[in-house]
Amino acid sequence: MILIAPFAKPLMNGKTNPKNYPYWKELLALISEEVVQVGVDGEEQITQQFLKNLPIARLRELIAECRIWIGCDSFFQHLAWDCQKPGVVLWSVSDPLIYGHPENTNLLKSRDYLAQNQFLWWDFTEYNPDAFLKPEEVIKYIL
Amino acid sequence: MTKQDEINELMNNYERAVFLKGDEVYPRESTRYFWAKDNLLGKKILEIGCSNGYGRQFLPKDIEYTGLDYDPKIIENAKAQGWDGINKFVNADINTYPLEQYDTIIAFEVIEHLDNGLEIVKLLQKHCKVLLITCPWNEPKGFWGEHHKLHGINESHFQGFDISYIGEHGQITSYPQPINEHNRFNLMIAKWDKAAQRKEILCSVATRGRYTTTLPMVLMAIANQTKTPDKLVIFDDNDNPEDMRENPIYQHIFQILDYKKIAWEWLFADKKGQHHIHQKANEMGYKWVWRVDDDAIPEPNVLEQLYTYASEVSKVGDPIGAVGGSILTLPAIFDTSKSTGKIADIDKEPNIQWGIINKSDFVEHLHCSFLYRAGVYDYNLGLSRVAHREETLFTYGLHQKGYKLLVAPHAVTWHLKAQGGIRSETNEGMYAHDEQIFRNTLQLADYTVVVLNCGAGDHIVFSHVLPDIHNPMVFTCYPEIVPGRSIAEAQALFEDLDRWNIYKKMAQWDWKDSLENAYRKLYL
Repeated sequence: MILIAPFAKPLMNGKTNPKNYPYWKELLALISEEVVQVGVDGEEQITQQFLKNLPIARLRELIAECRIWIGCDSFFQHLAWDCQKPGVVLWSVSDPLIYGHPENTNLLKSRDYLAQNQFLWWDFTEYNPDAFLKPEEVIKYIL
Repeated sequence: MTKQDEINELMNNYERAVFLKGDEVYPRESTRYFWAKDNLLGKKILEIGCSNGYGRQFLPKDIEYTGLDYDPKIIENAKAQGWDGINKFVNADINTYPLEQYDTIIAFEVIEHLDNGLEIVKLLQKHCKVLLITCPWNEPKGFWGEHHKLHGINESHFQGFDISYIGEHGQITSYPQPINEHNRFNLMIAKWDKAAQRKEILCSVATRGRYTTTLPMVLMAIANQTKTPDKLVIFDDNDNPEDMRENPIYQHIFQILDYKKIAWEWLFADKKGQHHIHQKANEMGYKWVWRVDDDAIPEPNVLEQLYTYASEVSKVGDPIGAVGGSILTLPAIFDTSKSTGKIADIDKEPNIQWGIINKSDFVEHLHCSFLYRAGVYDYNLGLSRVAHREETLFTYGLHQKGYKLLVAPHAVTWHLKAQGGIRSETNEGMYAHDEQIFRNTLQLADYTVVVLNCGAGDHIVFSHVLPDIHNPMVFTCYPEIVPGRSIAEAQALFEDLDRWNIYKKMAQWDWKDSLENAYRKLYL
């Protein structure tokens, strides 16, 4: 089973979080294995199985059970790191050298896309789908 | 069109100097390019406001030169001249041009044409190792016509630059030449060298209500130190601020500072109190900050003595956080021979700095004027405008963080109790408010206070640091991840939680390492 946590926390200004991967559906189309999505109320359901608002203890169990997990720069990648379960993080504007964990596979297209100021609210950073690796690149690290 | 007509058109009503290839260049223009050649660093050179590139002929041939001008016609002319060397001429606006990193940037007679010229100077400093600038010196409005947007530019706008002057006929001098019928104006010629920017000691003076009493005495005393600071910043927190840079007495002092190569800056503060001012100084990137009150006149050896103790004691033991000397108020000098300088005794004894200090000693807090290690601990910005106890909270915080505090002998500052002052408030409520924060802090003196006013993921990362923290007292947003008291309690106790804001701290430190290590730096 592959566990995915596709979305980072919603922004206060209502815009799309620039850390959210734009090609989830295309990526999932390349995966034949069972995929379980975790997240919270308000997030788009992109798999058949969407488990919402789970307590942290249950999330830890799922992380332990999955073959691999995929996420963006969000709470989930820190929790999985705490569980000592390596996974794949899809980066864009935030810097994996600051916010990432070297135990994971940190997929960053280019440091050219990193936000100049890494320490502001992400509301101030424009969403840019070009900043992410394409699904055909990402899938190589998952299969 | 004749050649002269062509030049006249390109000069755009005398807005710019234009010389075609082979033409004689006037001394005022050639002088600055000869000076540029002598002061050029490296091979990658950018000139903004390059006109038709006539300055290129004065620079070495083997440089990689880019000339920039906002006017497409002048750039076409520059390209057509065929100046020798490796050249690129670009038509672009400096406000939108994607600047790279250059060895030297030249900006001759440009910034005064831009509404945001002084901001552009700061921008250019981020993109070069050496910045060479000329502009009119103290130009009255209208002197050169409406195409000059900035007027009255003088030395105070070029802190950290080496400044000379060019007279009307092209002579470079170290002081402005007298204005008369033979010399109608001066240009300022300024060089900024990144490598030469020493950032060891900043002297910070917060002032309010003492323009004409003790402040000039304090500034002179700073200028007369046997060891001079690299920079002096005066934070003007007056209710009705005046520009004392126009005052002859102050101009005299600033000339002395210039002569002694002490950079200086007069900043208008935001009337929130001296703790906000000191925090600004704390974040200015210097290794040490010497804070001097605007009614405290240091003897000439004070900075040398404090700095010697700070650097020498740090070499042999724990790092020094701050060093203070005696601060004496005549006619009554306290007998402090029994004072311990411990925080537990603060209500029982006169501060050790209020008396003659005969030997160095370690203490747990300091009073008002001292030299401190900058950027390692923050002032509590939750205090009111009177900032009662701000120095005690700050220095005791340094002590709690593991830095030694020292009082040093033979470093006397004379406190002249004059009217006014940064704390001149009558609202007793402010004092009571600040005293409460101080007492709350003392109550938790044995703990390392941890405030996690941040996201759930940050809490998880922090949880890996927690086991290494000595006696932590945690205030938390997510007790299910990191147990502790609520953030609301922290807010009530300390008011200002910014000094525990890990994102603000990382921004302040220009952080490149991991979030986990940022927490380690903050709490260990």
